[in-house]
Amino acid sequence: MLSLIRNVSLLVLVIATGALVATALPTLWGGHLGGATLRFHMMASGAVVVLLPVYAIARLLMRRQPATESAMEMGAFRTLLIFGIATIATMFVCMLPVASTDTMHELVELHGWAGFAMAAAIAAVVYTTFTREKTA
Amino acid sequence: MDVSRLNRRCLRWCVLTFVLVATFGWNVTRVDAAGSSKYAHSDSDKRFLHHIDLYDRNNRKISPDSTEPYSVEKTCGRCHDFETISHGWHFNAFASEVERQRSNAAAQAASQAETDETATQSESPEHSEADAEHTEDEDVRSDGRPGEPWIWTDARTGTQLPLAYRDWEGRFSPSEIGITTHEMTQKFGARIPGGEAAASWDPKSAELADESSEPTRWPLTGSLEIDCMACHAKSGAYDFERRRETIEDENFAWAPTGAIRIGEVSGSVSRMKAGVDLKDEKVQAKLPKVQYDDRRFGIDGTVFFDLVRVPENNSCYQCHSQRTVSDSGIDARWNHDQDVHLRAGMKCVDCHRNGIDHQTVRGFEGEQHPAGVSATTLSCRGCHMGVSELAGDAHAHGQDDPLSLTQIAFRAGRLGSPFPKHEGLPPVHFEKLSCTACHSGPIPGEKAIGMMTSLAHGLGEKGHRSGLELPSIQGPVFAKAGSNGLVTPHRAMWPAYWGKLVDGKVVPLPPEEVYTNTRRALRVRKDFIEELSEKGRKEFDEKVAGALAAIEKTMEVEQAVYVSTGLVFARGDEEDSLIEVEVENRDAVEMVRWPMAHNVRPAGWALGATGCLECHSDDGLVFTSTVTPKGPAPVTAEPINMASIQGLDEATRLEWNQLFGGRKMFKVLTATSLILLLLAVAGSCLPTVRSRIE
Repeated sequence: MLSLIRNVSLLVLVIATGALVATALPTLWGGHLGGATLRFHMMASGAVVVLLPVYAIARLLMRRQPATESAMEMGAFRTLLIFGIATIATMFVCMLPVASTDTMHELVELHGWAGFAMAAAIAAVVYTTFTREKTA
Repeated sequence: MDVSRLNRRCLRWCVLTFVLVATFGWNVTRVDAAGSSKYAHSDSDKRFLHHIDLYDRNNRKISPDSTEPYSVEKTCGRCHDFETISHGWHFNAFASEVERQRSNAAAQAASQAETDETATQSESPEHSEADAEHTEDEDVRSDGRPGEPWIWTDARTGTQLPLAYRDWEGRFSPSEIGITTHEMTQKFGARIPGGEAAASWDPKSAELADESSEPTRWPLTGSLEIDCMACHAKSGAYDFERRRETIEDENFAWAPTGAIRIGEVSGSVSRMKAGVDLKDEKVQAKLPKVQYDDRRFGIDGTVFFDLVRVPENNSCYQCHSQRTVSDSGIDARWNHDQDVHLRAGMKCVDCHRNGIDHQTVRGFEGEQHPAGVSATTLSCRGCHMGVSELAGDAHAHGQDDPLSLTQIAFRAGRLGSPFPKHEGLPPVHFEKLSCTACHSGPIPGEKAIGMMTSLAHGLGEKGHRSGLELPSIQGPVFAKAGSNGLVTPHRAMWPAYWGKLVDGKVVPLPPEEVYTNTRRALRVRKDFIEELSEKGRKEFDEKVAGALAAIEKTMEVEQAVYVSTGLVFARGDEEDSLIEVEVENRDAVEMVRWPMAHNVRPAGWALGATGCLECHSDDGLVFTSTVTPKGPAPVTAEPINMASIQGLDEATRLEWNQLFGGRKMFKVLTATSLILLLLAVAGSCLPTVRSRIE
């Protein structure tokens, strides 16, 4: 069951992250999110906010079982968690009435870089997961 | 004396004369180039007391026994650079900056081309033309953000016709309609400080005038000169109402004298016929006379003018007051707060300031002001938030010393303005909304309210107003500003006028001529709405059809129409019937709007101060508030919501609102997610930590 939850949540995370990266790509060359793109980005972010902790918990619970994880797998997983936290936290602070416009601009930039890093981390997680399952 | 010696002496004198002429000539040029340097300054912040001699338009000194009005130009122009001042913003209300610069550029280009041709024959004409075009392109500026039009209102004919000499969308050019500058001056003179077109009749029309054309009234009325006292007289020293009455009497040249109350003006030019011989003694006797108050003259014959360098708010209010009108009538003043800046002790001129050129800063973003950056920082954003983008430009130009005057001028906080942090407001709002969208104008309701302005409704004049008087102006209308595409609160009106159809396009007819030609058919004594529209559609159709027929007959118009409430009425096939017709130029019929900036509300009263849902909900007023076309015709138009004016898709807006509806829950979810993720990070590290401990 845990395996199913882990796999399904990872699959949805991959799709959502892909959507997030695709919608955020224009920011790399000076554009900004707005309109329907922003709306889609926000919807996809909801999926990440919900499923990232689900995946993390499922994976940690599975770790108690005999199967051991390589350092590379664990490293990719931790990187995903750290950048996931950074991505979500920067967005979360922007939603609170605390950050000024200047701070918000900085947070949005950080959010972007953290998000791209998280996308890379999720790719690493997928790669390590599949490599292990193939060898197993 | 031999001939050669005589020639040498002549030559010597010639050389000496040439040197002297050249020297003096050069000095004269320098004085001119220095502009105002030929005028003395006090160079102090204290007020300069003006005990001054007054002069009439013929440059004769005024004494208590004089009967001529004093001339502001001849009096003030002795010590102040009147020529430079006269090109200021307020004195060009009857002129287009675009047109002026275009004609200047064309003249300059022509002159340059001529010079080039004379200087070097080798240059190709194409090159000169290209240069001329280039000069024109660079020189021509815009007339700036659209302002309130001059609304020609005539309650008798149900007319509210938006006019402007400036190149602004939706306004009609008075000269194209056939309204003379004299008529404009008589109609709106009390709301302008004089100058330019109002100060002299158009020489072109004088040249074109032949014997058959109607004689102009300008020689009788005199010019409505720039009246410096209208703004610079100390509050209470200048009588705007007296000025208005004097202008209504067509005593244009007497207005400054009457307004400053240094004498009584008797007589009225309005009772005199145009084209009379001004040299005739009988005519001279009928012209208005001034009886000066000799108590105002000092022993030395001077008069004390109580002046201020920086105009007081009261002077601005004469033309820039506004009132809101709700269903119960004009809203009581006591229940309304002033602009937050005024409450903070500021004056209008703290932001809307000018130099000797009197190019008053209008204060909107993107304003092209001759003073450049210093004017840019007087906009809302410039003052409160600084102009970092200009700082970038300065950096590119090597002015990157953070302590340079230029860099300091770019900083936020001018005039002690607080820095708005806008905590929690996504920056995308600054790309979609102007500052005024949230902070200015009346607090929006479910529908736009009525508005009255000084320029349109003659506020300041003693009278019995109900708030329903034409023109029907409404606001706030949240529309995208034409200049920058940002959603901005506007005042709006729907034009109502009598016009003609030419090639499917509607063109207004001169309102005074219309009144003369429709008087009998309409049989309206005072109020078109009360005496016609309110009596029902049948009465309206009958009278308007009659009036249209009268126009077609007497004004030689093929098809006359009446425009009101966004509709165009023409005569129907049946007698006394009207039909609605479509026109190609819908902009001549549709809503005319102009941005409003005041009154600015405090931050706590800004839209969105309590959260996103103030706007991002299904009933967010910035999108759902409505405005209904209003005019003298008895038709009920459909309300238009702000979202459609902004060009927003209703379905998309509602989708967005759903996202915002669940925002609180999403915040809780995100917080929970973050906690769990932090725990997960800690959990992922536990085995490693435990194994190290073991």
